[in-house]
Amino acid sequence: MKIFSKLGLILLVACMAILGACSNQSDDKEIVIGASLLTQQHPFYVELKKAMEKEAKAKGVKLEVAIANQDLNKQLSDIEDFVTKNVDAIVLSPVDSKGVVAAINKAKAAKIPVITVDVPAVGATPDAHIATDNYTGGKMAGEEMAKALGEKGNVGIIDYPTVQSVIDRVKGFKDAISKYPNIKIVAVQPGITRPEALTAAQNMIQANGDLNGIFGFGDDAALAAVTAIKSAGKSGKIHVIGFDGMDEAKKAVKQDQSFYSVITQHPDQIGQQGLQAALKVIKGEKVTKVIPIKPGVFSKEGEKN
Amino acid sequence: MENVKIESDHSLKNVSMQFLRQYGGILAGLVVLIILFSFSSPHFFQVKNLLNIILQVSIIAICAFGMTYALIIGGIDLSVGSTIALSGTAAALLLQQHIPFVVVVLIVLLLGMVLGAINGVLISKALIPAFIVTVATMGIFRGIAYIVTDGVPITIQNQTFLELGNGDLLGIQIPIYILFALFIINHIILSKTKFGRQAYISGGNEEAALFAGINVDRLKIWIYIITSTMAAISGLILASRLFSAQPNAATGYELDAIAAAVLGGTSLTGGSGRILGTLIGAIIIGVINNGMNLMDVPYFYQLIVKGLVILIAVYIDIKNKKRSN
Repeated sequence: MKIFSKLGLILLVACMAILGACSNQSDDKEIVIGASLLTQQHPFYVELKKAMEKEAKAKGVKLEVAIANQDLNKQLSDIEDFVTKNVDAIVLSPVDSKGVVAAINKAKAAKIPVITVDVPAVGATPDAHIATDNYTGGKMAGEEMAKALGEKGNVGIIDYPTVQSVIDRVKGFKDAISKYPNIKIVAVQPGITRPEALTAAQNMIQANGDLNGIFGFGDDAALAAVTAIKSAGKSGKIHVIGFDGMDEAKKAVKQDQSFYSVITQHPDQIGQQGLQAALKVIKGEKVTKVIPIKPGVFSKEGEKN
Repeated sequence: MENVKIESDHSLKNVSMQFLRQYGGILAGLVVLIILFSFSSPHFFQVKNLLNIILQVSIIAICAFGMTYALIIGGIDLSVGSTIALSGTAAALLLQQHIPFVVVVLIVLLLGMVLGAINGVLISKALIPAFIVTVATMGIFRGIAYIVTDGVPITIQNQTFLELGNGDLLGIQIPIYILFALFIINHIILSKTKFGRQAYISGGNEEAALFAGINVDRLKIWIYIITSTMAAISGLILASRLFSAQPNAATGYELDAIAAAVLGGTSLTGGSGRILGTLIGAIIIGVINNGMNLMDVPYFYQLIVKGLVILIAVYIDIKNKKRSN
């Protein structure tokens, strides 16, 4: 009795699993590309995934997507499973630049081409890498800040100092600002999540009564800064420049006086180009090793590139 | 308690009947899963992929071996995921100082024992419930892992250490050997030693254990030492497999470990549980993960299927408990 009830229930679950995948019987001749994405809980990656799926459909190739859920060990398992399935290429957004080496090596050993998107790999060479040109984006943010402040004032930065893409952004921002002798950077504080960024922004405003601008490394940081400015009653006196440009931030730029503009990444282009690069490598065509995607600016007047 | 009965009856027929009664359901479930996945993906039933699955589950399975001990005495250890991360980062930091491989492994195992002793002493001597103690140390151990690494992953370059998780011997990966060695050791400890018997007795009825003259406090401390040491071994393998120590690694693995043990028939109320069951439980989780990946089931659906499996297992556990009472 016990055995059969257990067996029956496990059968039920297995059937559900099969139902979940019922439409996925593949033809052997079809080109299959496996994508292993860092997460699916960030709008950036949701858009990236959609763009890849759209491009795969347009090109008539099969795309299988695995989500690592920010767990490097799961990403490694997902890629091992792609290798088992012998997919034709793997598009990968690493959970961690250094730690992903093992996964890339496994794919390479099986002669499966690897394209990285968004986050670069360190210590292994993928066939191509496609990502936002963060340094240029940072410079654009610096220029926006100068415009917002009329080329003079005191600026704070909310930072995420351990991530290379953010380091590049902040470096670009500082380089752009250094051309304006009347703009001073008076505070740089880390604020990775929105609550942390809120605390950082509040501290900055508290410590610098004459603060005129805050650059947030990402949407969360910028939105937190906007909240802090509002609750300090300084709307319109302190200007915020953000980076990422997901819908929530764009809306805030339109609505909030203090949110001047946001540098927009193009996950759709990154996804599309990632898939195209994978196809080229499969067909033996040449691809550029590093494909930078230039970000745009979204201001109160809307998007411009 | 039914385990004590098994010990007293060793005729071959009875042993095999017991085996079937204990593992028949879950083994049948595993076989059904394997058949279903074999039909739905041409890549599933290949020696290479089956080894792949065992490799992928080795980290959770070893950690779940340790969890089985804690569950047998009616306890729980939610800090194992953090222990995995902390022991991995400790290994990476020591290797950075060019300390030899063997010494690093010994220090990390010792670290695992110390972390377990902290849990055990707080639970048995300070009388704080195991759930609370290990929720607290889960945060503390994770915090230490972040502090010593500044939150940044550390790359590992020591070749010997990298062999631990990535090398193979006769075509079989090293972690699989470690897994089976630990399976045998833990199986013997729990089923053939006085220590193992005492664990089952005090998990089934702590007062009776005290009356029988078992030093329950000392027993508990040693149980948590074993649990953490298993997690430390998982941490070593994980760091090696990832070529790096990730301070945020293994988040949530405590729940996978509990799920593996419970799937394998370990009761959350203590007194029962076997290492073989836990191994099968872990392999079932691995087969579900791998099979659904090969079939390209979207990740969000995978979460639901895995959740259902755990619910069902616990439901059956509770139902069986009621019946035997």
